[in-house]
Amino acid sequence: MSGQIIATGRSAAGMPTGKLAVWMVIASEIPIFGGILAPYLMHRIGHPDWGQMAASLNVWIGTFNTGLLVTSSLFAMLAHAAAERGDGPLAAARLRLAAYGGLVFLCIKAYEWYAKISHDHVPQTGTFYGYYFSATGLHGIHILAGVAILLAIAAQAEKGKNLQRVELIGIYWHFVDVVWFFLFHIFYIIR
Amino acid sequence: MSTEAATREERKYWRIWAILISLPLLSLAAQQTGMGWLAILVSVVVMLTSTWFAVTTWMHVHLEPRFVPYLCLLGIAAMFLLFFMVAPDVMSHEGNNWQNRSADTPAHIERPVDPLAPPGAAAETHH
Repeated sequence: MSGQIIATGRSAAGMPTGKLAVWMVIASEIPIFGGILAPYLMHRIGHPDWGQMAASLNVWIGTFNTGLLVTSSLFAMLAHAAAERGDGPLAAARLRLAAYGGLVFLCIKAYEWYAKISHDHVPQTGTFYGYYFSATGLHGIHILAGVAILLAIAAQAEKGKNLQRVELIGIYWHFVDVVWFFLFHIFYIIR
Repeated sequence: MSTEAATREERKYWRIWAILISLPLLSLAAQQTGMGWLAILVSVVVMLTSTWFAVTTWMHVHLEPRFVPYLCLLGIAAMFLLFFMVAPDVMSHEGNNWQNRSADTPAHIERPVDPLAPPGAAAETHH
């Protein structure tokens, strides 16, 4: 056989290697985000005055960003459906739409940060903003990484290569979405 | 998968999308009422419901081998462990042979930085 053989499954785990890796990443990410959100909740309960600082966040922008990320996640899901049918070009197009959703999310988040910083609402202003910038910044880094991977996998999918990876990036992308559900409610909705 | 089955599957994803779009709007509506307790209650319900929908219908965690959900639960358990190990010290102001006096006067801890103050003045006022 002249072609290169790539092992994509492990009999011990009972699932493809890539998927095992993605779930391992997600399982390790939960305490990372939890490590920010749990102490925030602890401090938030003890500081009712943080409600005033939370009120300075634009809830409409937060809601729009939530819708944007959910829609982006939908396109990742639809890309998976297309990849399952073996339709690489359609999967690639849908993955790119998901990535553009993530990019717009980042642009809006950057505008929000700019507005906060220009009003002297920086991490040094108070612990609330320290948590806000840390949590949304960490989430933003995950979005940025996700966008890069979505685009890389889309380029492969367009040629009909490695279509199994479409599902893997989808799982990661949905996880980033789930994290945002928590950030949105904890920072923007609960005041 | 037949074309018909694929179309049905995609329609299902769109339905889940509609639910996941609607739920945050519910939280927003609860917040706009101005009743804090209602916003907290609705937020908790919406957070958990949205997560459940995303994890089960989009991430298909129930179709993975049994150890995958347990792996994720382990991460959540670590988070709770962190919370309950640290919370007594952070949230209480006194305990067995210790007292956090500065926590009783939060104004000395939480003070916005005065942009007009000369450099170094902010650090002095915190002590």
